[in-house]
Formats: sequence, C-alpha cells, structure tokens
Amino acid sequence: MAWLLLKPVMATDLNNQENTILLKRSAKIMNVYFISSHENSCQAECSFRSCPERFLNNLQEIPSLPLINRIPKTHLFQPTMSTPLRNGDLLIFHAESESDINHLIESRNIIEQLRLILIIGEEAFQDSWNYHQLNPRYTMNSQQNVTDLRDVVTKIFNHTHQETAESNTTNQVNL
Amino acid sequence: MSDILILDDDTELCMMLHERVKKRGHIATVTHTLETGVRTAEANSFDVILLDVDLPDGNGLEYIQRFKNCPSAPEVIIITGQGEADGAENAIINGAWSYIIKPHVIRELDLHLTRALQYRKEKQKITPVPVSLKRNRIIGTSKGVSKCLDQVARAAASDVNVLITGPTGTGKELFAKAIHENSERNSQNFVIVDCAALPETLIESTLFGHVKGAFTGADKEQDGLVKHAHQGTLFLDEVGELPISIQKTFLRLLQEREYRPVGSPRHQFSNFRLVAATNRNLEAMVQEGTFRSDLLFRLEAFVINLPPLKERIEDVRELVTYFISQLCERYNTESKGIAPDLIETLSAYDWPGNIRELYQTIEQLFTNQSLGPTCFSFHLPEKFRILQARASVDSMQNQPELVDAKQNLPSWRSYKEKCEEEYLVKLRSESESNVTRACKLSGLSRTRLYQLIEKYELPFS
Ligand SMILES: Nc1ncnc2c1ncn2[C@@H]1O[C@H](COP(=O)(O)OP(=O)(O)OP(=O)(O)O)[C@@H](O)[C@H]1O
Ligand SMILES: [Mg+2]
Repeated sequence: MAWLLLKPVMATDLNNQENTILLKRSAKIMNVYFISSHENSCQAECSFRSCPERFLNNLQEIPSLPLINRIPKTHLFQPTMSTPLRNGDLLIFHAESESDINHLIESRNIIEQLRLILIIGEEAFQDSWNYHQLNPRYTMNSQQNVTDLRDVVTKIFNHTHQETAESNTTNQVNL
Repeated sequence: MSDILILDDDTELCMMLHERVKKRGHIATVTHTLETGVRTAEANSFDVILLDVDLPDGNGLEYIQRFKNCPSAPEVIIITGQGEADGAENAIINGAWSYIIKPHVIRELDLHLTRALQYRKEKQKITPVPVSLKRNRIIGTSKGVSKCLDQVARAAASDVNVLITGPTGTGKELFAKAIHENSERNSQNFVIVDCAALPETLIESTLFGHVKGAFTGADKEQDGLVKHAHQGTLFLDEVGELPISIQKTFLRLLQEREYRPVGSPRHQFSNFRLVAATNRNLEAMVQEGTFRSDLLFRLEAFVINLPPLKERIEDVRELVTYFISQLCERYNTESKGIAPDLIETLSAYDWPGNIRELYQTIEQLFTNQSLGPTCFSFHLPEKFRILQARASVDSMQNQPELVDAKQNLPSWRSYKEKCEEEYLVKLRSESESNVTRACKLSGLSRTRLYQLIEKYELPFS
C-alpha cells in the first residue's frame, strides 16, 4: 500500500553512508565584456592612441584572464534572453563623448547589476564628472596608459575569483 | 539620577568632577583617552558626556558627533582650556550642548548639567518623527534588514564616518548608496574608490590626482576622486585591501580632509562624507599588523553589519518576486507566477554568495528554455534539484512513524497530533519563541497559534 512507502529504504541507506560531497555551488565566475560606443571606429589594430581596439587587444593578450568578449551595444541597450550580461559581470565600456555617457546614464538601470569600468574620451573626461552616476569601479581617460587598464582588470578578476573560491570551500553538504 | 561620563586626561580634575557629580546624585564614570571613552560610551548608556578638548590621542571636538551617535545619544558638554576661544565656538558648531572654560568648571558645572539634563528630558517626551527613508531598492522586511535600515536613517542624518561590513553579496554597495541618497549630500557625487581594483601604483594618483609631469605619462594635470567627492560621499569599497603603505596617507586625509595631488607642493581641501565597506575582519587584520588600528578607529565611527542571507531567509520570497519582476521588465516579457515549491527550495539553501548569488540563480532560471508562465523549482539549476531531493528525504525521515511497533496504522487523529506537535516545536525554535515571528513564518493566526500552544503545553515567550 502506498502509505507503507513513506519511510523509504533509500533514506536510511543514504544516512548510513555519511558521505560528504562538495556540491558545485555558489556564484559563477565573473565574465568580462567590452563595448565601445563607437563600434565601427576601427576594425583592426591601429596606431591611433585612443582607438578602442587598442584596449581590447591589449587585454586579450593577458593569459590569466578569461576571454574578453567584445559585444555590440544592442546587447546592453536592447537585451534579450540570449544576451549574455549577468549580475556581477565586468563590463568595460568605452565612451568617446559626453553624449555617449549621457546615453548610458539615461539607461543606467541596465548596468546597475554589473561591475563597470569606463574608458572616456579625453575631452569628456576632463569636462564632466557626470559619469559617477554610473558608479564605475574605475574610470580612465582614453589617452591613459593601457597598462593601467590591464592592471585594474587583472586585479578585479583575481579578487573576485578568490572571493568566489572562498565562499565555495566553506560550503560542504553532508549527504 | 543620571549617568555621566567624564573624559579628561587630567586625573585631578577628573576626581573633582567625579565628586561633584556624585554629590548631585548622579552616577559618574571616568576615562582618560578618546579610545576608551568611545568604547565606554558605545557599550553603556550615558545622559551627558563631559569632554575635554586636548586629549592624548586626539582632539575631543572631532569626536562630538561620534559620542552623540552612541546608542544612548548623550548630550556633550565641552570643557576647554582658557584662551581656546575657537574651541568654544567649534564645540557648538560641532553639536555640543555647551562648553565650560576650565577654571570655572567646578563653579559652573551644576548649571550646565541641570540644563542639559532638563533639555534631554523634554526631548525624550517628544516621540521621534518617523523617518521617511528612501529604500533605494533595498528589499526585505526581516528583522536583520529592518535594523540595518534604521541604522541607514541614523547615519544619513549625520555626517559621521560609516563602516559597512558583511560577507560578499550582502548589499554593502547598495546600503552605501542608500546612505548617500538619504543624506543632505544627495545632489552631489557618490564616488566609488574600489580598493580591490586599484593596483598600489595607481592608488595615490587616482585618489588625489596629479599635476602635469608628476610621472612619465602625466602629460596633463588630472583631478582625483577625492576632489570629485567634494560635498558628496566618498565610498571606499573593500577597504581591507588598502595597502598598508597608503593607509597612513589615507588616515591623514580623514583627519584633515586635506590632500596633496601627486607632484604638487600645495594641499587641497575636500569636504566629503566617508562610507567604507569590507567583508574582511579588520580587527583581525589589526592583530596581524596588516591594518592600522588608528585608521580602523576612524572608520568604525558608525558600523552597519549586514547579515548573510541565510540569517534573513524569510526575505527570499520578496527578493525573488522583485528580481523576477525586474527581469520581466528587462526582457520585456509577461509577468510570471511563482510556485510555492520554488520559494521552499530556495529557502532551504544556505546562500554562501548571498543576495548576488540569489540574483544570479534567478537569472539562470529565467533563461531556462522550458520556463513557462510560472516559475517552478524544477526550472532551477541542477544543484538545487539535488538539494530539493535531499530535503524531501530528510523530511520523510522526520515524519512521525506511520506504523507503531506492532505494525499497526495509528488513528488519523493521533497521527495528526503528533505532526502538529513536532511542527510546533520546530516553529518555536525557528521563531526564537516569538509569537509574532511564528505567525509570520507559519501563516497561522495568533488565535490559532495560542490554541496550539495551550493544547501541546509548549509555552512561547
Ligand atoms: N536587500 C536587497 N534588496 C535587493 N537587492 C539586493 C539587496 N541586497 C543586495 N542586492 C543585490 O545583490 C547584488 C549584490 O549587492 P552589492 O554589490 O551591494 O553587495 P556587496 O556586499 O557589495 O557585494 P560584494 O562583496 O560582492 O562586493 C546587487 O545586484 C544588489 O542589487
Ligand atoms: Mg561590493
């Protein structure tokens, strides 16, 4: 009869095994994305100092970092279920002008859950502090040394990685 | 009878004040340094603090707000040396009740004390105005969150340095912003300095800016974040990562609100409010020698400790509902229903990554191909299904024996009573014997809960 099954054999078996398994759990590893407000400015490497490609190529050379994906602006401004940005991901956003920044500020709720690094065109960087409304973790001038960006991204990545690992190891489940 | 704290490094004067205060029927406590004074005031209840200005470990005037922010919100009477006219004025500007010049202190003490105590009595009669706090999208009604929101309101009303602690993903940044949004500085910048993002070589120029030619590559002058935070809030995130070499410079900035851009001979001033956050144990870091105790002392003027999600698990339902509605809006989809088993499964998990992890989990659920108009627990990632399976096995084990020793089926009534009793025992421990919480957790009405308490003789407090 059905009620007899309510105390299943399986339960006692599991209990006796006293197995400790580590469930693969907790926060996922942070992904890193790159968006430039000037998508067509340059297709390949060039010598122009403020070219967005310069930053991206440079970051992609760092072996310890995961693949840094360049994604189109639409992924941010018209997200769909298949667009990849998720809570806690790192977005490096290259905004050339003040109007690019203002556009981002207008839709700032879409980046609220992301970690943000801003690369801002020289003039806009000097002229306005508006961008603090976007709560960036780091902001740089597009003329700035690219190694600064490398150092910052590496540091953020290592820190997050370490934190994730720490919160994972403290969580064992006894089965 | 009132409680008075006397804080002066002059032991003789302290003794005299102590005698005087005692004669007037009050209880007096004496300390000689700011550090012990602050700790004593934070741990005990005082009505008035008699505070000296020139103390061995700092200037008493700078601590007026900190004392006033102590749990008993005491009044502060400053005792200044003669000729410190500025001191007297500063005392009042900084929120002291009054000041007494040292040579007259014994003569004038009674009058000042009586007035301050009278004022305090009047103040306590007025019921505090409910603070209309902008929650800034902070979700949750648990005891843990409500307490922190109260602290946000109190911190926002003053300019005191705030330290927000809590494990990863508990909302430290969200709460920091809420303090800014609710403060008088909300029309100015909220500037983030992420100590976990800045390599040591960049910290100073990022914080303080630099002049042209300060180092190779500095071909133009550049302002730093401290300047951007003028009249606003400077949020020093992951402050535990601040290298020890920079901590001293930072301490000076906090003391003087002055800094020097890299390469510049001139000091600049910035009037910012500081909020810091960390998930590290800074006390332990002080013990290890990786964090300066004087800096910690400055930072922790007002501490908000955010509890991990597993200690406010009753907020899961509201959080999930909010996150799902946000995602529906983001992806422009119809609103979704939430099946009770989803909340049950999520509530059984211990959330090491806290609210961020909960958000990420809901994002994962949302992109599940088989998701229809209602979110069920089987839409969750695999690890939750394993947990759910385990929980159901556990709950079966916890059920009262369905057959007795002689393999007889018990009567329906006795089986049900056994279940009820076990449920009540569990409910009592989960709600810490608090009837209101128990009703909230169980969905039982108060009347019904009292009936059950009486029936099974399981008293709640
Ligand atoms: N009470 C809350 N209500 C709604 N959302 C919350 C709440 N607390 C945290 N969150 C959300 O959880 C995520 C993590 O919050 P936040 O970044 O403020 O946490 P943190 O403690 O600074 O985390 P970390 O240690 O990872 O820096 C954010 O997406 C935030 O919006
Ligand atoms: Mg944070």
